[in-house]
Order: sequence, then C-alpha cells, then structure tokens
Amino acid sequence: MNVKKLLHNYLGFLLTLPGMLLIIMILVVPLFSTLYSSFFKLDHLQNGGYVGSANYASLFSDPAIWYSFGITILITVASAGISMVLGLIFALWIDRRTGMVAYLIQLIGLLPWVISMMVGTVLWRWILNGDTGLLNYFLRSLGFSPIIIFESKTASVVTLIIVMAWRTIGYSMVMILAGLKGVDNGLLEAARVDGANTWQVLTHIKLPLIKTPILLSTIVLTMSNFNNNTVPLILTGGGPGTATNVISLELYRMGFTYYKFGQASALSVLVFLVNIVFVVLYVRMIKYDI
Amino acid sequence: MQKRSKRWIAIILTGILSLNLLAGCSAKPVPSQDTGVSNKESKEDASSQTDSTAESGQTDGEQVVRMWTFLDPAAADGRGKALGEIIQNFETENPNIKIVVEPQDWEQMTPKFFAAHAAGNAPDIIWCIMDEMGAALDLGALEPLENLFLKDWSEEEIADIDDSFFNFGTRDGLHYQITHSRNYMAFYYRADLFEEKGLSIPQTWDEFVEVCQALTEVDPQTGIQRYGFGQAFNVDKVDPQIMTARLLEKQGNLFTEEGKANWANETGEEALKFQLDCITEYGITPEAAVNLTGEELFTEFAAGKYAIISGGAVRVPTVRADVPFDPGAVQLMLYPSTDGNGHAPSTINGWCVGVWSGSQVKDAAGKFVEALMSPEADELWVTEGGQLAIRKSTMEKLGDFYQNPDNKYLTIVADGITNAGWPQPTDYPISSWKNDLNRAAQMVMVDGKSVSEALSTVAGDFDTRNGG
Repeated sequence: MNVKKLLHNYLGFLLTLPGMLLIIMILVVPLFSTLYSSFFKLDHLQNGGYVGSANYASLFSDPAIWYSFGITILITVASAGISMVLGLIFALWIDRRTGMVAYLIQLIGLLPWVISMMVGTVLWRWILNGDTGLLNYFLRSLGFSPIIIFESKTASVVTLIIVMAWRTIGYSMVMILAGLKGVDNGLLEAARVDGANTWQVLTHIKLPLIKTPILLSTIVLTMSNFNNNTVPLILTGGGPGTATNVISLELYRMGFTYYKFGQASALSVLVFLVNIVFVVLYVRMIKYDI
Repeated sequence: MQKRSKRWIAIILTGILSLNLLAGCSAKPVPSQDTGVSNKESKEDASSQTDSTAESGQTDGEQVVRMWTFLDPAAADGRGKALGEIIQNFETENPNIKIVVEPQDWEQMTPKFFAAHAAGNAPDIIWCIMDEMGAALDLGALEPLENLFLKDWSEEEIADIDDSFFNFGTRDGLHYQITHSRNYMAFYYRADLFEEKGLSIPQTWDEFVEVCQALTEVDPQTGIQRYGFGQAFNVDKVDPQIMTARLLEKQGNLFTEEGKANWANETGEEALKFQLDCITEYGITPEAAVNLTGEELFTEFAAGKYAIISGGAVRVPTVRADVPFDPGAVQLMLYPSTDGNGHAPSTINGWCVGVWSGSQVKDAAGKFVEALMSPEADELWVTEGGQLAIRKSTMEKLGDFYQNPDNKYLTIVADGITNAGWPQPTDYPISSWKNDLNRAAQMVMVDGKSVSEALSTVAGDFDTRNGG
C-alpha cells in the first residue's frame, strides 16, 4: 500500500485525531476520574480507602438528596416549559411583523440570555429583596404592604422558576423564530387557499415544520436549567431552609463546603446519568431521530 | 481545486489544534493577573514577564512566586493598597523574584487550594482560612516556616511576633503559618443612633436585647424599617452567630476533646433559642435573617437597615468606606456576657499565610512570606490596611495612631483577642461548623423542627463528616 493510498484512507482520522484527543482529555478523562473517585472515601481530599458502593448507598438513603432531585426537576421542567411557551408565542407574533417593534422585542428578549447570568440574578435579588428591594419600595410608595419572597418557601420556588424562565425566553424565541423563517411560504399560502384557518395552519403546518428547533431548544434549556448553579446560588442560596436546594447546589456544597469529595463524585455520576436520561427521553418522546 | 483548498485548510487547522494541545499539556498554570504594581515602569515590566515567564518556578534566573489571596493589590481598598506597596518594595529589593497574585473568592480559596494541592499545581503561597488549618496540616500541604526563614531568626525577633496567632496550628513545635488580617467577631454598631437615643454599651445579654428593642423602628429619615440587631443564617458566606458566644461562655469549647460536636445539649439549645428569640420573641431581628448571607448583612447594615450586627472586625475600614452616613459612627463593641462581668468569648479568626509544601520556589516564597510581616510591611498593614499589628514593636511604635478615635476599634479588637478570644482547635478537622449551626437555625425557622432535633441533626452531620 503506497503512502498516497494510506493517506487517503486515514487522512480523515488523522485530521479529527487532535479534536478527539481534546474531547477525551476535557470530557472523558474527568468523567472516568469522577467515576473512579466515587468508589473512595475522599473527605478533605484525603484517601480514606475504597468503599465500594457505600457513597451511592448513602446518597440513595438520604431523603435530602431525593428532595433535591425532586425540586430540581420541578424547577427545571416548569421554567423550561414557561420559557418554551412564551418563546413560541413571541416568535409567532414577531414572525408576522417587521420593523422597529419586532426588532426591539427580539433585542429585549435576547438581553437576559446574553448578559452575565450572575449580574442578571444579582439584579433580581436586589429588586426582590425584602425591606431594601426596589419592588417593595414601589409597593410602599403606592401604599401597599411589602411582600415577602425569600423568607417564604413557596414564593422562593416560584421566583426561582420565573427568573430561570426569564433568562431563557429570548433564546427559545430566537431558535423558534429561526425555524419559522425557514417555513416555505408556498405551503402556508396553499393551506390558506384550501381553507385552513390560523389555528390549523399553526398546528398542521408550522409546528410540525419547526419541531426541530423546538426539540433542540427544549433539550438545551432543560439541560441548562437542570445543571444551573449560578441562579439558585445567588438568588435564593438554596433557601429558605432547603426549599430551593437544587441538585447542583447540593453537589457544590457537598464538595466545596463540606469537603465530601467521594460522595460528591458519586452524586456527580448520578446527575450525569439523569442528564443522559433526559436527552434520551426527549428524543424518544418526540420520536424524532436526530 | 476547491476540494484541495478545503483539505489544506483542514490540515492547517488540525496542525494549529495539535500545537495548542501540546502547548496546553506542557505548560504550567498561567497566572491570571500581575501584581498590580501601580507605577508604569513596573507594569510594563510585569506584562512582558506575564507573557513569557509568568508561571510558577524558575525561568532565566528569575523566580516567579504565585500567591492566592482574596486581596487584590490593584484594588483601591486599604488592604489591597498595602499589599500592592509591599509587593512593589519586595520586587525592588529582590529583582530576581516576581510575585504574581491571583485574587480568589475568599470562601472558595481554601477548598480550591486543597484540590490544587492534590492535583500538584497549588500556588506557592496560600492564604488559608483559619477554620481549615487543621485539615491543611493533615494533608501535609504546608511547609514548616522553620525550614524557610524562622531558623535564621534570633530569639528577640521571635519574641516580637510570639503570641497566640503565631502559635496557632503548631505541630511538633513547628510553625506553618503567619496569621494576617487578624479578625475577631464583635458587634458593629451605629454610635450616632446610640447617642441620639441616649443608649450606652450593653454589658449583659438582657441589656443588649433592651438596647436593640429601643433601636428597632422605622428610620424617620430614610423610611426604612430599621432593626436593632441584624443576623444572617444563610449557609454561604457564613460568619459565626451569637449562639457561638453563648455556647463558649457556658462551656468553653464547641467541640469535645475527641473533636465531636458539643452543641446538641442543654447549653446549645439555650444558645440557639436565644438567637432565634431575637426574631420570634424580641422582634429585634427580621425574619429575612433565615436566608441572608454574611456579605448581605454588611451591605444592609451600610444601607441603614440595622443598628447592630455581628461581624468580623477586620472589615471596619471597608464598611466605613461604604456607609452613606458619618463613617465615624461605625464603631465596634465586644459581646456582652450573662452576668455583666467581662465579655462572652468570641471567635478569633484570620488568614494563615503559608508556603505550599510542593512549591518549586519554596525559598523565594518563604522570603516573601517573611517580607509580608517585616517591620515596614507590618506598619503598612496597620496604617494603610487598618489591620491589627503582627509585631509587638509595631504596636509600640504606632502608639499615637491607636489613640486616634477613628482607630479606637483596633484597641477594642486587641482587648477582645487578649481577654475573650477563642482560637479554633487544629488538632482535628472542624470543617464547616459555622454552616452547621446556621443550618440548625434554618431548620427551626423554616422547617419547623424543634431546637433539640435541629441541633442533634447537624451535630450528627458534623461528626460523620469530620470523623469525630
């Protein structure tokens, strides 16, 4: 086999090799390293020896972990749902309009996504803060009683959902809008000639044709919300009590506040598995083969 | 032709990626920031060095020393400015040593150091929080200072810095750290409000509650509901709360001799109950305390929401710089006691500055740690940074400085440390005990658990985690 033929056969492999090595180093190696660590007692990063599945057993037997997973799923699904529904509504509305208003709405919608997550969340914290927050300042100015948010379990969960949805509405809107712009006008006109009303055009033509951006946005937002640590940490700090103690916060504290690195590794593996399940579940639910 | 161009572009991109990979694998961690030295010449010099040699170790005869601290030498605050000046002076005197500061979030710096130590790429100098000094020593992460510079010190020089801070964390007679930013938990209070209402410093806890009740009102100037006493029970950015003082007053320690939690008992219950009664019974603390961080407590104090808060004395200059009212009104007082005789003990804290045991430039790092507490540097920390002196000679030299009413708080802190200071134990790990006590407060306030149940739960967690 001459060099030219060898090069022809393996050039693709050689060209992708550095990229694959990079992915292996930054994704695969840490993954297996975490998996390996999860079978050891690593309190304060001191090797306390092999403990088998004890770290996993202690996680499964801890009601706080179950609660944390539960509240994470609730917040993730609710915020992604709100974001997708509002994003779709805005996208459909903008799709029918041109000019400055549509441009401004796109711009305003995208701002929460493009500004720093930390800055946006700190602003919300300041706005909603009890006695010194902007919201209560206005309420008091208008003669209303101030409202309590961060001391109430329910209000904290609802607020977290709203802020996480606020952050991502612009993203879902733009993704869906991009899909809508790709819909062939000829199809829409043909449907109208055939007597289809607006609702029928939406449900039988537009939505089926934009299911790819909807599906992709939903997956991205779900993953983003599920693993989001910044917004819950800054907005509610997981509180009051453990009301908004989402799994990423629990994981962060387990490792970097309480120094239980073995258990934190085990929890990381569980979170990773849940992420995988989410992706598979969504793809299968929609029965769409990416 | 087009296909050939694409192939060449792919080959070139692959080559670039490969080179990046190789460079990434071979490079040591690149510091994120230079020392922030203010003069132009030094900055130009620093930037050129950052490009070529700013990595830990020795390059072309120049030793680069990386340091993690929460201070930023380029910042305008007192401590940052003091550090910047000390680095500048040191680098002038030691042209072959370059100090590279990598400012960190104070709460995450120590866990990051532990992780970096395990990974073998920790900074040469670390500012380790006092709470975790026991764990740092157990990990063997710090080099004894006797191996670096203390072996050359005379008895007189040692005597100048010999105090409870210097002896903190000693093992087998070896010293591993010099405590900077010496801190003491005390009450910040608004002297202007005390004067306005004709109140005096409370000597007992009962008087304290009465004073706080007198100060709880709607501020007529700002319209803000002001509370007599601000507390923060969030588990992030945690400072010890008053139940610590109440516990220490009664039983002297928070832990047993074996390193187990010693707060799930009658004394602990009384202490936690008193702390929470400030919200539920006395009405001097807002319910918002359950989810407030230590950082936010200071911000809200500066905004005028509280008349008194509990916090680390080290922040007085920063708080004074932030307040919209007369900065001189921010004063410190020690904790009261149950019977009015003396003061309830409070936590001594600070940052243990040491040299990483795995450093390739230990001698240079040790030299800078030594320079950080030289007589000149110590004076800068006090006068510029508003910190307590490390050296007794500095305190004597700066007698007039301490007499200034604005610096009165330094004498109060020194009094507290000497007469009512509680250094945290280092013979066993005590990680996150403050978080645990705050969790107990949250369990009672938010989850409706009983005081005893909450304390038992967090004591169990502490023991399991720290192997007590």
